[in-house]
Amino acid sequence: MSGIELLLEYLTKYFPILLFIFVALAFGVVTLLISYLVQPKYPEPEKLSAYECGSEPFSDARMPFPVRYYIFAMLFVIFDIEVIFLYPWAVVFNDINKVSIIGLVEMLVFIALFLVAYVYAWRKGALEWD
Amino acid sequence: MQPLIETLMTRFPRAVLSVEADTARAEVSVRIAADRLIEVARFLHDAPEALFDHLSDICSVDYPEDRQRFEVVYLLHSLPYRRRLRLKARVPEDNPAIASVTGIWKGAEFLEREVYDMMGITFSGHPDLRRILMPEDYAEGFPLRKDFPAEGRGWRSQFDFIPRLDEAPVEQTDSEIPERDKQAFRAEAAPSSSRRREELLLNMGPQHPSTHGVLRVVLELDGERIVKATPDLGYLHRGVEKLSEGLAYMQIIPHTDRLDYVCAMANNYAYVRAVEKLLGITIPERAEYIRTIVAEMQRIVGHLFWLGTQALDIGAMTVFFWTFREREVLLDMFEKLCGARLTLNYYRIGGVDSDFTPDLVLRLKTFLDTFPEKVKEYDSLIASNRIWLGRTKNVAVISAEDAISFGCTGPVLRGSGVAYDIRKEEPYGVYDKVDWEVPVGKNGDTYDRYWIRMEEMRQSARIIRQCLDQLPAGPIIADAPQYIPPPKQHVMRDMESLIHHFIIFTQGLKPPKAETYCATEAPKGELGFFIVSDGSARPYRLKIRSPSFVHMGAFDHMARGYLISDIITIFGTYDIVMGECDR
Amino acid sequence: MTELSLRLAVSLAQIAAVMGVVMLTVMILTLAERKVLGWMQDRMGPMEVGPYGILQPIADGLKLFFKEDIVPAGANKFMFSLAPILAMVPALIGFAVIPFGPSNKFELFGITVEPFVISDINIGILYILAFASIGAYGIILGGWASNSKYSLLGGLRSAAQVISYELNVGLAIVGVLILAGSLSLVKITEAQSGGFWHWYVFALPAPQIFAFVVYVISAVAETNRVPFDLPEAESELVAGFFTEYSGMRFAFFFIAEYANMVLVSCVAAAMFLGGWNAPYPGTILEHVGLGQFAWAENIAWFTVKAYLFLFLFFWLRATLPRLRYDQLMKFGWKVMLPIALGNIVVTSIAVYLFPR
Repeated sequence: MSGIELLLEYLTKYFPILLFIFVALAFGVVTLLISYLVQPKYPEPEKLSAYECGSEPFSDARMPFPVRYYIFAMLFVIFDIEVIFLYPWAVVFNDINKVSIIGLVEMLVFIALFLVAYVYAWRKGALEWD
Repeated sequence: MQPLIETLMTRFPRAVLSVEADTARAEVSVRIAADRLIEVARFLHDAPEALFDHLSDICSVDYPEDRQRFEVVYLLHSLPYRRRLRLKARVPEDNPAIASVTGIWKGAEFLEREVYDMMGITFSGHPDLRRILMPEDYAEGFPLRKDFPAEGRGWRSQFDFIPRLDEAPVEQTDSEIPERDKQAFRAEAAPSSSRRREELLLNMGPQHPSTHGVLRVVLELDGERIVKATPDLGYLHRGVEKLSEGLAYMQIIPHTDRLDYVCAMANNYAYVRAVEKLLGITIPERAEYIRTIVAEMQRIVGHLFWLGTQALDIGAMTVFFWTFREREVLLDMFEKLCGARLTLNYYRIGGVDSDFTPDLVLRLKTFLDTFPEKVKEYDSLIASNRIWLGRTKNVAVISAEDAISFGCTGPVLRGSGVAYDIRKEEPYGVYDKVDWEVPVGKNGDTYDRYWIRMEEMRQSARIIRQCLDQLPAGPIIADAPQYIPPPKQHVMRDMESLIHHFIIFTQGLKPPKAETYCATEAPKGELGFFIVSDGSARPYRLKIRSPSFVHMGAFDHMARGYLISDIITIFGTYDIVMGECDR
Repeated sequence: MTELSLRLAVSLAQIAAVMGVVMLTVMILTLAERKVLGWMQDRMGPMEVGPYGILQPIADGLKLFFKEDIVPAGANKFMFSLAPILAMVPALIGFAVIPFGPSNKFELFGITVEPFVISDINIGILYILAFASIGAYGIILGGWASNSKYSLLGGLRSAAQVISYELNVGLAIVGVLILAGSLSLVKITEAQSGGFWHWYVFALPAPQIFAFVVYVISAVAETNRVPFDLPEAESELVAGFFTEYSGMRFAFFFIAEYANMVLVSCVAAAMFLGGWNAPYPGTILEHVGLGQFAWAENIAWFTVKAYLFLFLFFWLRATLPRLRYDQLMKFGWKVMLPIALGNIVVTSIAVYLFPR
């Protein structure tokens, strides 16, 4: 397939998706807009105050939050990238001409490496919430 | 008791001022010098022959005419010896201060704060002496003093009103709570350095879906972990104790309905028992049976309500609807019995209001036949559910020692392995005539308390069934013409009844000059009424010892170190009702 | 040029149909959930609006549409408005690659139309996973922009939860990818035709039953449903990340949640339960000679499978209590992840030993 044809193929495949994203966004924005125009507006300080169970908040809610969340976010990024590497392999592995012991062993080694990182994180207590 | 009193008098000759033994009501009170309180209290708590390990309540009474104006009354209770003792100390008006006993009984912290709040007596050595039921900035003085008018002093007329919609909106002011006001909710004082604190102060309540009413707890959080939990009570404070001082004894009964509004009957029962103890009248047998049956029905209702809400807090919503289905059946019976469903008013001083009808007995028996199956049904949803176990086991653990020291009672205390149930210890009603057991837990965690309440429902059903089988015939109200109004048909026919009726309803019944404390096992724990009578038709002082309030004193202790999600299970496991807590 | 506008028209029609169906399903779901829960809990559910309350979703929708939309004083207005859209759009556009029925291509004025899938791209499932992650941004932004501590905690919880379980979803489907040899949901579904024993949840040589369980549990967690509804745990965080939201913005979060439920149900049906394939070879309509209407039967099967899943969501909600946050994370990382990983190893070895 030449470059142009590939591009055209991509365009026909992905054009509906782009269109869908656009339509969904437009739906969201337009609905909000119309709703904004028809709704009543009676602002008053008590109504606009942030909810904190009826008491006056002690402090602004935008404050540093615990590092635990970041650790999980980082673990996710690391492991998720490894998972993404599994996908192309998974797709071609079962191909009738390509099933081979090399593909299997390579991936088992990769998963073993994954496991090393996982066990390390576990032993270090990174998977504990506390 | 006598040897102990003698030991007390020989060991503390200068501290013990007098001993009043009320033989008719089997109560002893010891008047001591206020400056010797700590040593006497320490002795009573520690000495092997005393062991008053449980502080039921601290009450204060105002005698404006006396030179030593205020009296502080400590209601002590010894769990090992099953006896009670009242310790009284007087303090003068110009310096109303007394030593704090928080070092001896941990539960004294909240009780002393209440006395301070209501009567203005300061406790030296108290860790956190602030107002507890009244607002922090309350400016009218101390409401339970006799010179305080029941209608207040006009403080509320200064309140701002919420602006109306057609008015111009008020400019938003960005007010930050000063650091000074936050200190009370911090686990430790803020460091003097400029290091920014990582902990987050979060209000939970009063407007929160699962604080079981208008309870506010200020949480100091480290992530989702609780560093300190400070309950802020009083949002539902109605001044029932102050109101009672202006009402005749019979008129107070409806006010007790609104204490623990989930279990109104239990409050009625506790109150009328206290008044009967004060009056010294005996109750006909049939009335005793009926009272016991109704009290146990109410216990089932209360526990069903608790189970539903506790399960809902943990997220199991179906249990809630299923328990309300059975609760409805019982409420229907209450409606048949006395016309109301929630704020029931069925107990009378000297008996009950109306007799059981055969139809009601039949309904009740039918209910009892199906009820154990229903309890099994709830259990099938949660009892062996791993999530439920994970959420309740080893959560909010309180040791037996701490539970006693904090003055916990009811399922909370029994969950920690202390078999204290007033129905067994000081039997009233007909609890000593029927077979039943007191379930006791081991670990003092939420699961044990859950198990105990489930078991108590089964035991209550057992008690009701036996009572129904034994139910004797006879009158349902005591015959004591000077205290109890005669039946209506008599009033219409004979002169003497008419006169009694007239006197009771115009002047009220007049108990002898005395004081008494009477404890009843309500579904939530020990509900006690301490009544001081000056011989008039109105109580001179009425103090309600509500289990929810005392349990809130242990809240911080139980919550520390757990997660936000566990806070919810603690509200549930206390079975807290703010109407009773704030009174 | 006419071809382009024709494609545009066809695509728009498809998009309109899919969005209509999804919105309708969401409406049905809100009612069905309340009804099913009601029946399970010995009550009737909504009964007031219309006969047996069937018009309730319309009433709810209208109410939310005309309701005052409050923006808290301290909120970041732009982010606050953006968050609900950011939550809803990914939930909707995921349906672009879901095959609702067989790929009966036909020619329309010279262009090929696949009526039951908007676009059959070769990275279908990857596309859904990618956009599902964007939904988490909507939640965390909503929580942060509200300037309320309850919202913030809900948003944080949600972000950590969604990414943790996202990983498990990603791992759970690798087994299916090995068996199918494709990322396209259309091809995955087609590979499962010929009876329920060809569905990947049962298919030899490596039944994906464990992967299926991991996927279902993770899907429930990813959509923030009971017993994993911690981000919006009512009894703790009031309403979690959408505590401050009202009116139409609130409705968007609500639609996002339900649309996500539908989406994960559709993906589960397509990947593990044979998608639009009937549990027997071929279709009944084909056998009786009405082959041109076989697609109707296929769509019916797809709908049944998706709705069975949705029923499972309701059922779980009526049965289970809520996990605590540390338990949730522990379960995701220490139980689900090893199972999913083990499944990949077992599947790849089985496929190697018994190649197609």
